[in-house]
Amino acid sequence: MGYDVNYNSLDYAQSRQICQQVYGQLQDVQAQLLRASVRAQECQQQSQNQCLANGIANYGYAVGVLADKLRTGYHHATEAVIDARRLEEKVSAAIENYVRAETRIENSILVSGKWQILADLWNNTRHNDSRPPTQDMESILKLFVLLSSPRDRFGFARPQPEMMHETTQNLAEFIKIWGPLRNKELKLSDSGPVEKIESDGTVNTFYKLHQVLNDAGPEEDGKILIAEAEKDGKNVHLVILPGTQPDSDGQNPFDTYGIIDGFGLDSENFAGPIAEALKISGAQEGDEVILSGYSQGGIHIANLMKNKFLGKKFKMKKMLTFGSPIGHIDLPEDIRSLSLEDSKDMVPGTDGTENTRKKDQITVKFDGPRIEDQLDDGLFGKPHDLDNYGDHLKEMVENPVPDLQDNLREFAIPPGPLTYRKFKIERKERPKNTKHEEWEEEKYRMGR
Amino acid sequence: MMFQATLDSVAFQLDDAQSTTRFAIEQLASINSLTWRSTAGKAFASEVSQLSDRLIALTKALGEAESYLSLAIREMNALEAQILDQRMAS
Repeated sequence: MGYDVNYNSLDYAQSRQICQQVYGQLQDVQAQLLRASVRAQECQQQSQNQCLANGIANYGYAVGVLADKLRTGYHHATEAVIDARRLEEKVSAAIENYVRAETRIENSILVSGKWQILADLWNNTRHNDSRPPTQDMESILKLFVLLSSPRDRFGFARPQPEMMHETTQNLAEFIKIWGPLRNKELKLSDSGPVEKIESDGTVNTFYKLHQVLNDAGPEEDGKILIAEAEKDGKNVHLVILPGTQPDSDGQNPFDTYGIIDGFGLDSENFAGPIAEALKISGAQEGDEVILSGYSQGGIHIANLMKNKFLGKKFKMKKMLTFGSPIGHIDLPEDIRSLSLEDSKDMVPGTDGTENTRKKDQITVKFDGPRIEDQLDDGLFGKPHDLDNYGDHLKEMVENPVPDLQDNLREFAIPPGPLTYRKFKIERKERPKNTKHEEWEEEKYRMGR
Repeated sequence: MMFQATLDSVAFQLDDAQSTTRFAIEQLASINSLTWRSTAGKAFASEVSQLSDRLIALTKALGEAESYLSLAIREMNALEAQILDQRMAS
């Protein structure tokens, strides 16, 4: 089976799933019939022995026929298992053929359009305050990785999102293992007093909470914020993670090295300190937790939505990101996410992959800042400024698009005062002489 | 009683196998309701139908086994009763 010219990925995926299930079910049927026929045969044998021992005329004809019929059923089931397996293989091969063919075409389009991509990058960057817009950033990274990977260019090509994800992950892991912070771990070091903020009853409250962290100044770097709200009679905890704080002393987990944690470690090292902070804030097991992150913070929260440790403790089904490169993170279907991206912001494109759109996972793109003169230039330019995303959020709430109504309602925080606390997370030296430490040291020595 | 218990477990497995097979037939039917326009797609759908037919034949075979199961139960009950009678008499 090649692949259908009217290829419908959903139909094919559904067919593969059905064939896999049917294959498993028929294996069960096969095993049951084998057991049943053996039991029936044993029963016939025992009845004949009893007849012989007791001098009774021979019984067991019907049991014998039953055993035969069950054996016939077993042979039918065995053939059906082989057929189901073959069908499953065929439909899987068809899906693979399609993905490979599409990837080859996408790659050849990308390579043949390299001069156009470079020209567009040059022009669009010139008109965007010397920073590449999101799409150009994605294209140039994809092109760069593709040209530097002979395997993808000439051999067994991986789908582009996979190629980008694996490349960034390998690079991040390399830096993580060989970098200066390889012996550090994240610890919750300080918790602030309970403070209050007013919610306006909309999703804008998330921006206000991010603002609290963002406006606190460098002395409060490394802090996260946890707010408590009541929604539909239940406690909801809002976890707010800041963006990259580049001027740090190596102890701040949100410095540029934190991006490596996001790409290489799936932000697993953040799970422990965040769980501890939630506990101190009064979160009980099973409470709802909504995560929100700006820039680098968005990478961490998208990773943490898949974290098993946190997922077991709390109900985590909603997340909100502002200007975060999370296209490489495949979120489970049951997660509701709302991601805001400004098309002139280079940061959401730094993973070289567009966000995947699923039923409840929406990315809203805006055509550049409305309030450019009020924004800070910063490291990544005005479009990446938190206030720009705050303005876009306001724009969404003021002029809601029908498709977004559900999301705006789901993420709205009821009006009234909210309590919140800030918590500081720091990178600290991992305790010496642990097995992990020895293993890391050995790996480092062997590498040298 | 020993034969009865053995045949009860056979009955349970047979019943389970029958319901699983019927469920598999229903699932395969949903593949045919999808859109298959090309030759490759139609060939795949046709092979799915063939598997469905094979499973229908399997359910028939299992139905026949079921009818012999009740005969076998009666047969073994009679045998057990006869053995019991003989033991009582001796």
